[in-house]
Amino acid sequence: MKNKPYLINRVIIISSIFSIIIFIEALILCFSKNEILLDLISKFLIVEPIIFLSCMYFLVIVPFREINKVFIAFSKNYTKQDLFELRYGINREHEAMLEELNKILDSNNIIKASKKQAEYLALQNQINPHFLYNTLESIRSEALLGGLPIVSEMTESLARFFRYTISNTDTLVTIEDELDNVNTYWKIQQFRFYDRMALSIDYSDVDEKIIQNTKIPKLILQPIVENAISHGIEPLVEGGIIKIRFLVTATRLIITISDNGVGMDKNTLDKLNNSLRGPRLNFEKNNSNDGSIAMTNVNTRIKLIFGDEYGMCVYSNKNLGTDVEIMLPIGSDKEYEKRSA
Amino acid sequence: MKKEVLRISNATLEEGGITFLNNLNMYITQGEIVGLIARSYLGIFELIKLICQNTPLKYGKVYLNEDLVNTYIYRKKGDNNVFLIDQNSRLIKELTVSENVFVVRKGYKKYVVNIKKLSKQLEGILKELNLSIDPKSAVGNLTTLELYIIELIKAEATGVNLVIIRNISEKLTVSELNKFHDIMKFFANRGIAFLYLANHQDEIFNVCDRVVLYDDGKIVKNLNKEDMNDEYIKLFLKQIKRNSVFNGQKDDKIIQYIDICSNNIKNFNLDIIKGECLSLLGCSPSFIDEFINITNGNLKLKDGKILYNNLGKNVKKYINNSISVIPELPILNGLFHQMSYMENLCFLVDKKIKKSIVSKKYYDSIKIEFKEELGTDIDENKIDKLSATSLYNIVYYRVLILKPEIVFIINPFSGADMYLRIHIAKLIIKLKKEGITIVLLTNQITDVLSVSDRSKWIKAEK
Repeated sequence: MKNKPYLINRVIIISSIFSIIIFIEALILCFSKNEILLDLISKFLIVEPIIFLSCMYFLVIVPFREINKVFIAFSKNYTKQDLFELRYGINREHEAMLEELNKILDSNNIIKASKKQAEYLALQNQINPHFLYNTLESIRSEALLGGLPIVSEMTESLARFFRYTISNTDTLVTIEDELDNVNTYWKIQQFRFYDRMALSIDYSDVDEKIIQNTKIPKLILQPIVENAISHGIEPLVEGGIIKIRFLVTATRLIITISDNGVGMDKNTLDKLNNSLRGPRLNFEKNNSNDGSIAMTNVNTRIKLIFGDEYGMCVYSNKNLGTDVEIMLPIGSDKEYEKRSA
Repeated sequence: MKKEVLRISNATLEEGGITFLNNLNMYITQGEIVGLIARSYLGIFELIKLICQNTPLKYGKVYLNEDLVNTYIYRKKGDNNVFLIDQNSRLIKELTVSENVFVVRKGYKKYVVNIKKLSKQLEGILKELNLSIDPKSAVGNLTTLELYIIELIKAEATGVNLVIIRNISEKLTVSELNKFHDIMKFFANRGIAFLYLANHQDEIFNVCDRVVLYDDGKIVKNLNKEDMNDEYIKLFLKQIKRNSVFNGQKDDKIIQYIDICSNNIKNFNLDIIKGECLSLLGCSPSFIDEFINITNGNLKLKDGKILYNNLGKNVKKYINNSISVIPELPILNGLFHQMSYMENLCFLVDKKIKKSIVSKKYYDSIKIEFKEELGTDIDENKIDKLSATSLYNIVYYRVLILKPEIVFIINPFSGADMYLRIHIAKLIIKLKKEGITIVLLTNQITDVLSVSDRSKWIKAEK
C-alpha cells in the first residue's frame, strides 16, 4: 500500500512543474530581448496546454476513473478484494482510511461469522450439540431394542449429520468427507422422499487422489444439495435427480450440482447471480427464505477465503432445472488454513 | 490436468445503454471443443470481440491461458492471441497458401522469405491431414472448405491456443463439414481449444466435447457429453414445427429441368411441382449462382432444356413476372435502408400492376390490408431501427404482394438465431399457403426439412 502512487501528489507535481515553467516563460517574455528565444517561447505556449492536459489525463484522470470503477463495484457488493488491491491511491489519508476499513471488514471475522451462520442455517436453532448427540444415541438404542431398525438407521444418520455439521466448523475437510456428509444428508432425506429422488455423484474424470486429499471449506456442498431438494425437486410431483460432477483443471476445481427441478425465472436468476458476484458483507440483513441465503453464504465464504476470482454461479431455466457451479482453487490448503486460523 | 485456455468470470458488457453480456461465466480448457448454441444472437458479436480484442467491461474479468487480460478496472492493450474463423475467409486471395500461413501473420519479422522452405513445412502438415492442396497455389483458387482448413493450419502456425469458429456450416456441404470436424479434432488433440458457434445441435454434437447454451448475454446451460442428445436439448430450444400443407397435384409441373448442362452443372434433371415447397440440399454457392442464372435466362445452357409449363408467348416476360428470388441474408442484400417500410414493401409493385407511377390509393390499400399482420412498423419512415423479425417481414410480404408463381429462396435461415429461424419458417409457410411454389436452395438440412414437402440432394452439381 505504501508504494502506491498517489494521485494528489501527481496533481501537485504536474501543476508545480507547469507553474514554474510558466513563471520562467513570463520572466523571459518580460525581460529578454532575444528574438529567437521569444519566438520559441511563444510557440511553446501553444503546445504547453496540450502537454499539461495530456499529463493530467493520462496520469490523473485515467487512474482516477480506474479507482472510481472499483468504488462503484464495491458499493454494489460486487467485490471486496479489488478495493484493497488498487494500483493507485488518491492520497495518504485516503489510503489510511482504506487500511482501517480493511481491518473492519477483516475476512477472518466475516468467515467466522459466516460459518456460524452456516451452522444456524443447518440447525435453525442453537442446540447444545452433546445433548443432541446423546439424545439421538438414546433414541437409537431404544429403537434397536424395540425392533425398529429403520428408526435406528434414521437416528444414526441424523446424529452423524449433526456431528459433522456442528463440530469443528473451523477445519478444512477433504472432498471425500464433504461427499460423505452429502450422502448422510441424502439418506435422511430418502426416508422422507423414498424413490422420488435420486442422487448421482460423478468424479470419474477426476483422479481419486484429488478427491481423497484435496481440502475444501466445510459445508459447501450439503447446503446446495438441500436447496436443490427443497426449491428444485420437492415441488415436482414426479420427483427428480440431483447430479454432482467434479472437474479439475490445472488451477481450479469445478463442482457442478445440477437438479432437474422447477428451475427459476430470468429475474430471480439475474438477482441471484448478481448477489453472487462478490462477497456479501452484510449477510446478517438477509432474512429471505428463498434459498439464496445458503448460496450467498457459501459463495461469501469461498470468495473471502480464496479471493474474488472463485465462488459460485447459477444457471437455471424455468421448469428445466438448475445448475450451481462452484469454483475453487486447487492446492491452496495452506492459504486457507492460514486465513481461517 | 488441463490448463484453462479461456475463463470469463461475471462479465457484464454494456454499450449505448444496451446490455450485451449479462453476468456471463464460461471456461474452455486446453484441447476442448466447446459448442455454443445461441437462442438469441444479442451479445454474440460482443462476446467474440471481448475474447479477441479485450473490449471494455462494465464488470467482470477475462483470463486467457490463466493470465488476467481484461477486467472492469483495466485491460491489456492490443488484440489477444485468439484466432477467429468466420464465414468470410481472412486469407489474402492473391498470395499463395504458404505465404498466407507463414508470412501474413503476427510476429513474422523476417525480411527474406524462403518460399521453398515454407512450402515444405506446409506440405508436411497437409500430408498429416491427408490433404492435397498445393502450398504454392494462390488462395483464390481454393474451395471454401480448403480456405477454412488453411485458416486452421494458420491458427496453429500463429501459436494460438484458442480458435473461435463462427457459423461456417452455412458455407459448407454436409460432407465438407464432416471433413472439417475431423480436422478440428486433429488440432484439438494437439492442444488447440475451440469455441464453435453454430445453430444446430446435430452439427455441434458431432464435434464438441461440451456445449453451452447462450441466451440474451448469458450462458443458461452447460451440457456435458452425456446430456448431448436431441431429446434433452429440445427442452431448451424451440424447434420449427414440421409443417406440410401441400395439396397440389403431383403431375402439375411448373418448371422442368431436363438434362441441363452449363459451366459447373452437369446433366441436371429436376421437376418442380406447382404449390410445393422443394428444398435442394447440399447446394454450393457456385451451384446456386449458376442455377438461378439459368432459370432466369441470364446464362445460356450448354445442353438440355428448361420447360416453363405455364409459359405464355414471351419467355422473358414470364420469367420477370413469375419468378422471384430472395437472396441470402436478405436484410443486407434485399432491402433499401434509406427507404421507408412501405417503399421497401411495395418495391417492384409497379411492374406487377404495369404502371410506372403507383397511386397513393394503392399504397393505402396495401397498408390497410397488411397493417394487422405487420403492426405499426408499417408506418416507419426509416427501417434501420426495426428488428430483424420486422425486416424479414418486409422481404417475405413483398413476395406475397408480388405473388409470383415460384420463389427461389437462397439459404433462408442463414445468419438467423433460434427465434428468427422460427419466424422465417412461419413466413415460408405463409407463402406456401398462398399457393406460391417455393424452392429452397441451401446446404442446411434441419430447419429446411421442417418446412419442405420434398427435398433433393445436390451432389457434385448433379
